[in-house]
Amino acid sequence: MPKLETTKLSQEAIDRLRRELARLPEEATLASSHPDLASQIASLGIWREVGTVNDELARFIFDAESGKPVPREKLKARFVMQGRLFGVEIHCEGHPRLDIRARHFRTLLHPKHSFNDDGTVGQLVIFPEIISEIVRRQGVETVLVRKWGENSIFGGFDPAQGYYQTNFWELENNDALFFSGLVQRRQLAFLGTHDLIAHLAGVNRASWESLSIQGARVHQTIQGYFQSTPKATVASLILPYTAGVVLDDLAQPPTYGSRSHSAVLEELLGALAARRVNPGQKVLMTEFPQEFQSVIELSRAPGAEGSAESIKQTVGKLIGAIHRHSVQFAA
Amino acid sequence: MKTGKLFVALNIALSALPLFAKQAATTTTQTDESAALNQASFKSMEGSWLNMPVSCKARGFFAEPTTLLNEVANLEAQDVFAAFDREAV
Repeated sequence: MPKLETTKLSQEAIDRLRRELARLPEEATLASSHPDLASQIASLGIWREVGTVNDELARFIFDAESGKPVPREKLKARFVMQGRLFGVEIHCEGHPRLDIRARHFRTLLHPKHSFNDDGTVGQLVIFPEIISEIVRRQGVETVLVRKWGENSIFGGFDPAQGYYQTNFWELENNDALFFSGLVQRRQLAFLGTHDLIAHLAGVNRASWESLSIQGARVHQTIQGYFQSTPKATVASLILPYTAGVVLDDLAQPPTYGSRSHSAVLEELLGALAARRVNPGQKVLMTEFPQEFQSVIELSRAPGAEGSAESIKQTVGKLIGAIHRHSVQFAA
Repeated sequence: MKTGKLFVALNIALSALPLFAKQAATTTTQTDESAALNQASFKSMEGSWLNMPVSCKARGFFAEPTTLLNEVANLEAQDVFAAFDREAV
C-alpha cells in the first residue's frame, strides 16, 4: 500500500502559492498544466473551508452509528502526501466511522486510505490531481481560476463569514459571463469544497454534451447584452446573475439535464436578448429584488417546465421588481 | 415604490452627487458616474441581499443528503487510483 504522510504548508509556502497563482497568464489555467500548484491550491482551499460555514461537504457527513450529521466544528483537515502527490485529509474528532450521504462522492476518496474494514469512511483522503484525472476522462478539465482564488482562498478569508453568501462579488463582477465560458469549454474550477462535492463528484461525459451547449448560449447572450455598454449597471447585472445561478445548478450532477432549470434559463435568456432591462440606463438600485428567490425556487421545482405561463410571470415579476427598485438618471 | 424607500434612495443618490460634480469639473466620464452609482446601489442593497436565503445564492449545492444503497463502483475511477498508487510505490 502506498505510504500516506502528513505535511504542512508554512505561511511562506502559502505566500508562494499566492504569487504563483497571480503570475498565471490566463484567467483560467488547466490544472493538468500545473499539477502541483493546482493540487496545493485546491487542497488549501478545502483545508480552509472544512468545519466552517463555507464547508459544503459538512452537511453530507454523518456518523455511521448514530445516523446523525456530525458536528461541523468537529471536522478537521490536514495536508497529506503520497509520494509527490499533495492532498488533504478530513476527519471528524470522536467519530471514527463516517457515512458520506452524497451520490458519487465516495468514488473520489482514495480507496486505500479512506475506508474502514467495515466499509464506513474513517477519513476522507482527497488528492486533487487524481480527481482531476478522473474528471478529465469524462471530457471535463479542472482549472485554476485566478480571480476566484485571489478573492476567496487568498483574499482575506474569514472562516466565520459565509464568503460567497455575504458579499456582492459575483454579482459585481458579472461572474455568470466567466462561469458560462468555462461551462462552454467543458471546464470546472477546483478551488474548494463546493467545486468538489457540487460539481466534480459524478461528472458525466454524456451530460456535458448538452451542458456545454447551454453554457455557450448563456455566454453569448450575456456578451451580446452588454456589447455596447461601457459599464454594466447593478440593475443590468441581476438577470445575468440569476442565469448564472441556474446554470451553476445545471452543472451539478444531481441536476444535470433538469427540465425545470432549462425552461427557466430559456426565459431568462429571452429577457436578456430582448433587453427588458436596459443595460445602458443609469440607475441607482435601492433593494435587491426578493423576486430573485422565486425564480430560483421555480427553476428547482420538479415539473415547473410544464407551466410556461408561470415561468413567464415569475421572470416578469423579477424584471418588474428590478425596475421598481431602480431610480433612473438621465443618460 | 413606497415613500420610505424612495426617500432612502434619494438620500443615497444625493450623497453620490458630489462625486458626480467633482468628476464633471475634471474629466467626467460616463463610466465613472456608473461606477459611483453602482457603489451607492450596493450600499443601499446590502440589507435586502443579506435577507436572501443562502440556498438561493450562487455557489450553493442544490442537493440534500441521501442514504446510498449499493452505489455501483466506478471502475474507471478505480483504474485511475491504481495507476497513481503504482507510481507512488
